[in-house]
Amino acid sequence: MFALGLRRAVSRRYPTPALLAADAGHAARLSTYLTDLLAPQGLTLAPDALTPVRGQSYGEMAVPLLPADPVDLLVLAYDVPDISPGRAVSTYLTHVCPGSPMSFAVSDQGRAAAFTALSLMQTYAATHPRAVLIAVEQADLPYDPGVPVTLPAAHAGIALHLAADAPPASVTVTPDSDAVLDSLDGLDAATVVLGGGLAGLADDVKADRVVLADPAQPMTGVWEALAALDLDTAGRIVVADYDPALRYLCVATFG
Amino acid sequence: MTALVAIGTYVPPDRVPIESLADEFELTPMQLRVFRRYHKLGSAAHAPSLSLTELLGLAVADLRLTVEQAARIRYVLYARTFPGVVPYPLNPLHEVCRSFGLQHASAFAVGHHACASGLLAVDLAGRLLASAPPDALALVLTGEKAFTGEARFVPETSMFGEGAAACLVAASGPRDRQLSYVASLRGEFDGELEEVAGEFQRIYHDALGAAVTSAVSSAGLSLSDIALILPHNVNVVAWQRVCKRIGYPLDRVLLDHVADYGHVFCADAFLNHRTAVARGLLQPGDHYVIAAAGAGRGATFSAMVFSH
Repeated sequence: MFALGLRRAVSRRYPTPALLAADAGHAARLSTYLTDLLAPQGLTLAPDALTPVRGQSYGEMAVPLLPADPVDLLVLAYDVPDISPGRAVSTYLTHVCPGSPMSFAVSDQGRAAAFTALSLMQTYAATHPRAVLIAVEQADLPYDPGVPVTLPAAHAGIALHLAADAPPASVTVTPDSDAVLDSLDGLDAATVVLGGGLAGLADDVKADRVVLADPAQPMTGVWEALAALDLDTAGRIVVADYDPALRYLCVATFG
Repeated sequence: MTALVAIGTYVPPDRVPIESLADEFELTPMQLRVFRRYHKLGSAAHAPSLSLTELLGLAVADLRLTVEQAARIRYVLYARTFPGVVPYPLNPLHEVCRSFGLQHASAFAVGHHACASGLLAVDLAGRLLASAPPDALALVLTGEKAFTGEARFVPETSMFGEGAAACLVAASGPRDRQLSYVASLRGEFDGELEEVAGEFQRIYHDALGAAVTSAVSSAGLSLSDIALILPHNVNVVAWQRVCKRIGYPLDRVLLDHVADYGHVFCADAFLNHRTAVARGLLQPGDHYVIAAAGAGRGATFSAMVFSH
């Protein structure tokens, strides 16, 4: 049985505007795209919504997260759309990433998308032994969607560098989950990272160390916390989160 | 070996003629004649009264899932041409899952392979099912709304039609077994269409032909073993050129719907499969290719070989 394991985790924040945001031609195209996107819902784009463009480009955010050495597989996970809603970002990353990896993107699953991406990547372990998961979230939505929405507080991105010769990782994404407490019982881990969706359970988790992720970063918070750990001393690590909107319980175990 | 279990489709009855795009895209009468006579593009399927959720739901309804089948679905993968198709955080995929009692399935979108994302989704579904219980199923959804200019028309190439398909996938099965899959990712075409169109058109036919021949070779077959190609409905002349390059007879490429439906995003493959079966073009044991390509700030050329 082949499986990928975690070699390294890195995270970044992006305090400066995207270069693409300053491109007036792009802003005009984005305005058309968003106007047409909103119209069927009876929504409109405010006249000043894109002056300036405040959001980030996932292509730009991902480039500094790319590995220096060749990889065979790259998967991009995201939830909030970026300022290039028609761009095949993961395909672009294949072009600029060492190794010209096979790539694709996973979305439409809230914060569970990164965990699902890991599950999918495990299916490639036998043939694509060097892999990188990039999860990104940007904090600007230039329209009122007319429904409650939770946006990240900051633009953030993470990369998990995975390899088939590292201690194997395992991932579960449990849909329609009410049984959060039962599922987290008996976690066999030295270090547990809990996302904002599970922060209330911190006292119930039995582990040498429990780390609470930044709850203001729904997609990247847990992985940012993972990246802050010393992987050599953290022992067996469990990363867990719960998407309250789509009701996915997600658990990833490393080591 | 991944197998297709059943395919449900929905194509709305309304059509928009290519001429309706003339004003928006500044098409001259000569260009319109070229589209109709040369590319064989005439109209596109249109569903003005249906939302994306409704469109996808009609394709799932056409599957007529049994309660037992629905309970076995562990994954629902929505394959899209365009990464962003509804305002955030609306989620048609999960709305469809709720409507059909599929909340127990893990549902997510896969893409960034443009119109070839449907093949990616089938391959990923098979990969996930390979380590699931043997009776588990996955559902692959395709189809989009032509909601904005770039989702209605590809300059000098194609017009998009609205429709949807739902494909039930199993880890193994007696028919429509996946023998190979090849995806060639061309991220160098990461510009606005007008910036990359010239070079993209120059390499298009060779790249798509190479994907087809590579997938056939990966399946341990030769082109003479392929009974049929189920294409994406981009236009007829593109497939004439691909066939000429790879030496495959054009009359074995199912181009029935190009002039009528238009290019139905990632759903073409499944719509054409349905037609091929209905017309008796696939016999038990026949090998066939599903091929697709797309460009949308990044290009992908993909092909998949099946045994019927």
